[in-house]
Formats: sequence, C-alpha cells, structure tokens
Amino acid sequence: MNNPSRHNQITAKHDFSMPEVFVAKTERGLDENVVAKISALKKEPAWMRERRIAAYKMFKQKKLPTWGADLSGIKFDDIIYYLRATDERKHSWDELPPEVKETYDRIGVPAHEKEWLAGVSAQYESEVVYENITKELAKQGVIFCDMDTAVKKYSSLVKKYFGTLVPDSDNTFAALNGAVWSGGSFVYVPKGVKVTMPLQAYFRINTERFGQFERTIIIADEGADVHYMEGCTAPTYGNASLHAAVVEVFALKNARVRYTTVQNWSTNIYNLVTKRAQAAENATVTWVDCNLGSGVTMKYPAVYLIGKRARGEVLSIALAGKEQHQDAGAKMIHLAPHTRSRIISKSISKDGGRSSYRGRVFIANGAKYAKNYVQCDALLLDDRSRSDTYPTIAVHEKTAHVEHEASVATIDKEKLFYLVSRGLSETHARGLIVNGFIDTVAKEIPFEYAVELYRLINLEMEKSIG
Amino acid sequence: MLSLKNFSVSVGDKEILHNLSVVFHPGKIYAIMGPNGSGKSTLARAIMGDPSFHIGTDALMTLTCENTTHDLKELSTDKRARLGIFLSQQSPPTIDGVTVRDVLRASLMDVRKKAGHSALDLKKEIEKTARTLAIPVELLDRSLNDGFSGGERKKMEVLQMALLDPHHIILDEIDTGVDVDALKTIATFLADYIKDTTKTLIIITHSTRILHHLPPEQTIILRNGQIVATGDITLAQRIEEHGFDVIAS
Repeated sequence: MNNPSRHNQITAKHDFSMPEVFVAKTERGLDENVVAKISALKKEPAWMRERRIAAYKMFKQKKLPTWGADLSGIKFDDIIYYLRATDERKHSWDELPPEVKETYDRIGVPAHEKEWLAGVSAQYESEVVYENITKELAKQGVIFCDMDTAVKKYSSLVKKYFGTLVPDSDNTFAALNGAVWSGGSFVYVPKGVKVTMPLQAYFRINTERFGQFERTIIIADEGADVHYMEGCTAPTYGNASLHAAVVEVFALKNARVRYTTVQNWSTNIYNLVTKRAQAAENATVTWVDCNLGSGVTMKYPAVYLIGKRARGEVLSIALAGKEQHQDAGAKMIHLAPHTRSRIISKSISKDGGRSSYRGRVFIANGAKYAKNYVQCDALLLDDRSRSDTYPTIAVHEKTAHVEHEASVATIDKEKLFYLVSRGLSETHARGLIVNGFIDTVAKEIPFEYAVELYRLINLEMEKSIG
Repeated sequence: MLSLKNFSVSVGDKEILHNLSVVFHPGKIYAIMGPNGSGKSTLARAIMGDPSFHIGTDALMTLTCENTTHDLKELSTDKRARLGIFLSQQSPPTIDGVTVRDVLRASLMDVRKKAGHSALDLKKEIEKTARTLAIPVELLDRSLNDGFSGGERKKMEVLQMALLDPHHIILDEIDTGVDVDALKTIATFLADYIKDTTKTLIIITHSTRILHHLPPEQTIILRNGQIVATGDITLAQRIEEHGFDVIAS
C-alpha cells in the first residue's frame, strides 16, 4: 500500500481474508459426537472430555435469554465449532506460516510491540499457534499459556478453578463454551509477583460461519499484580458468526488484576461473553471494556467482592453504529464489609444504533459500609439512534452507600460551533467532542490502543456524515 | 478587507441586525460598542457563520485577501476560519476531555496539513506563546476551559488566535471577566502581535480600558441592530463617561 488514506487502510483491514490453513476441523453444527471429537482432536484427558459432555447436556436444556438483545439470528447448526489452524505449535515468530504473519500485519499489530511479542499469546483461528513466555516471566514463576496446554500441563490448577466462578449452568453461552471451548489464556501469577508489562493476546476469527469460544482463567495469588490485555479485529463476512467466550478472574488477598479489552469484531458477529471476577480481602479487580464492533453484544463484566476492603471497577465504552446493538454493563456484588466499587459507562449511539447500559449492584446484608458509585453517560449523535439504561440496585445493608448518576446528551451546538470556528471540519469537530466524551475511560487503556481507539472513532464520524 | 452591505441578520422571525453596512480595512483597529442587546455578538457570530442565524437574502458579506474576493455567505464556518477570520468568543464553552493542544493539533496538522510543522514544533510554539501570556502550563493539558478563571479562558482564546495566525480578528468582549493584570497581559500581547502587520482587529467592548493599549482608528456604535454613530477614540471616551444617550438615535 502506497501511503493510502487512513480510511482506506482501515477498510482494507476489515475486508481481507486469508486462505484457510487449517488441518483439522469439525462438521457444521453440534451434537455429542462433535463435542467428543473436539476433545479427541485436542488429545484431552478424560476429565475434560466428561466435563465437555456434561456442559453440552446443560446447553441442550438451556433457552436463549428473553431479555437483552435479539439473538434470534444465531444459526447454531451452521457454525463450525472447532477448527485448528496449524497442526503443530510454533515456538518462534520466524517459523509461523507466512499467511498467518501477513494476517497479523494487516490487523496492524503495533510495530514496537513486536519487541514484546515474546510475551504475546496470539490466537489465529481457534487455537493458539504462537506463544512464548519471556524468560523473566518464567523465572518469576508466572504461567502464561493457552488453555489447551494448561489442561495438560497444569491440570490440578485448572481443575481447581475452571468453571467455579462461571459454572456451565450460569447461562446458555457459558454452557456452550463449556462444551466447545478452544484456546484462550491461562495465567497464574505467584504470591507477591508483580508483572510489570501487560500480558497481551490477539484474537481473531478468519472463517465464515465459525464460532470462537475461548476460555480464559487468570489467577493472581496473594499480593500479585497483573494486567491482561486483549484486542481483536475481524474481517467482514455476510453470515452470522458467534463469539462466546468465558473469562474467570481470581484475585486473591491483596492482589490486583486489570483486564483490558478492545473489541472490534465485524458487525456480523454476535459477541456474547461472560466475564466474572472474584476479589478477596483487599484485592482489586478492574475491567476496562471497549465494545466498538460486533452486531450484537451482551456483556456484563462482574466483580464478586468476597473479602473485606475488596475493590471492583468496570470502566466501559460502547459504540453502537448502524445495525449494532451494544447491550453492555456491569455487575458489582458486595458480599463483605468495606468493599468498594465503581462503574463508569460511556456509550455512543449513531446511525440508528442502539446502546443499552444494564447494570446490577447488589449489597448483601452484613456488607457493612459497602460503597458503590455508578456513572453512566450516553451520547446520541442523531435522532434515529437509541440509548437505554437498565440499572438494578439491591441494597440489604443499612450502612451501605450507593450512588447512581446518569446522563443522556447530544453533541452541543455551541461546542461544535466553537471548534469549527477554529478551522476544524464538522466531522473533525464531532470526532474531537466524542473522543473527549470517552476520555475518562480511554486514558485508562494503554496508549497505543487509545490512539487506535481515537482513530476508529474519527473514522466512524466520517462514515456517519459522509 | 471584510465588507458588509445591507447586512440583516435574524433568529427565527426576529430580525436583530438591520441593513448594516461597514467595511473593515487591513492594518486597522476598530472598536464596536453598544448597549447590551444591541447586536454586537450577533454581528460577530454572523460573520463567523453561526448556523443559528439567518442572513438576509440581499445582504453582501465578502472577504478580500490576496487579490481574491470570497463570498462568505457561501462558505461554512471552518472554511471562513481557514481563510483567516478568527472570533474570540465572549463565553468560550467548556469541552470535556479536549485540551487546547487537541484543538490546535486538529486544526493545524490534521485539517490544514500545515507544511513544515511537526508535532514537536507545534508543542514548543504552544508552550512558548502560553508563557508569554502567563498561562500556567498545566492548563494546556486540562479539558478546555474546565474550571478556568475568566482571565484564563480569554487567554486561551488569544493563544489559539496566535497559533492559528488569522488576519481578521474579532474579539468579542475579550476584556470582560478579566482582572487588571490579565487584561494588561492580553492587551500588550495583542498590540505586539498586530504591530507592523496588515491584520485587522475588531474589538467589541463595553469599556475603553483595552482601547488605551489598542487605540482604534474607528469607533462604531451599535444600537437596536443599527450603526448609530461612528467616530474616533474620543467617541468611545465620551460614551464611557456619559453613556449611550449622548448619541441621538
């Protein structure tokens, strides 16, 4: 590409698709045999195979949720539930197949991050093909690998935590994930270890009618500190595709975990993810969640505050454009005294898009002096778009303090006139105002992602006016 | 040269400016005075192209620069700005999450693609100008005007003016809500800025304080949407002493 405009670059980024290089895959659709085949292809131990079959049975009993976004377009029988990109695990970047590398280049993995790629677990198709833990991490005793490896190598740890925070019975898509999960990360940070650089993973879908069901577990032992970061883009396809991941985070006493997601699936994707964390005494868990893409999102990261003085935070941005419904929010479950939580949600709706904030704050009897603060701000860019707020607050403790602030606004004419009078085009001015609107959350994500986020917002502004 | 002829401006059904005609020449300073509600800000904003105002069909509004005459009525606000018109607003709004650096970077680098202007040059230039205007450097990284004092807001306007380098500058009450020291800083900066240039300065004001630093060639008195008197600086002084009633309307 010879110096293309930013618009062309980003369009190209989403429209390409590389030839499939898979070796093994299942048929479309799902039954018990398919579930067993996934387990067999992965050469899993019996306990995991049995677990998958049980989850499949649970999935069969479950119905689609009757609330939230419209999920009637999901064609479960059309989905390929498992596909392996390359047969053997690659250990160095140079050994990766050229198509795979080209895909990463087109996605735009930031150049300076390539230095860090030794610590990156990048998912291509449904399985992690490239993964290498830096020597420092290994020396510190940190485990950072894909979940398939963890099942075999760290089975006692996996058994202890897998599905304990998000059981298969939790919801339809948790059950489905339990049956067909593939890939995802397993992170264990030992007592007192602080991981200074974010652990990053790139996820990507590259096959039509193919769902991605990664499973991630993060365990921060007592006093540990870790930041896990995932970002994803996907090429544009006409057929519906499903992304149903499950993430479980365990922050033990005094630990800190931050989990950052920048999600930019193409709009044919249903993004239905269950993310849940548990914070023990004096532990802190922060979810930073940016939902820019996908046609339908239903995602409510939760923190169960089970120990005294535990803290939980959800900072989220949702952008709902044409034919998009972002039904996102947060859950804060206060089960111990002096627990604190904060939810900041910023949503932008445009071109007929719809964004909903759905939140649950629960304060149990005995969670003395628990404190919660919710701020949800919605920005509507035109009168065809829609924003809703569905907060649920249940307080069973007299000493608790709960605060909820909500606002809905359009782009202020005075501000717009001010900026265009400084020579900015209207598109630019609107982009700047929108970027300013999300600034309090955007500045919480690593700089290179924030820059990409601002660019995407500007691109979206160009699309909606032009 | 900025030229207005038969310039009528209305909001909804209400006409605010009636058939105004005036020419602003290069290299000159103009003072516009008048009671509250006489249409001073409307004039300024209409020149800048505020879409909430309707310009009369017979009105002419042209800008002549570098031997080309532009019909401003045909141009959007951002294009007028890029032609070199600048309006310092009476009450600059607060813009959450947007810094003055963001505004200038967007205007100068993204939109105008100013040649030979690197992000680093721009950063240095902003900081240098901020120092001259005695703007605390931390304000450059805060949401624009969020919690700023009156003087700080107006200094931010002057800072943007200096970086955007316009040749027709309209200052709508740059001296209102500004303390003595800040006013002196702003006025001295402006006097130095336009010295030996062909820049046109249009100062909308209620007082002659700023005019002592920036003596106008012409004082224009607006009342009920019309120009009721023009004169030199002594007209401004008479009005400050005796009020607008000294002028027969």
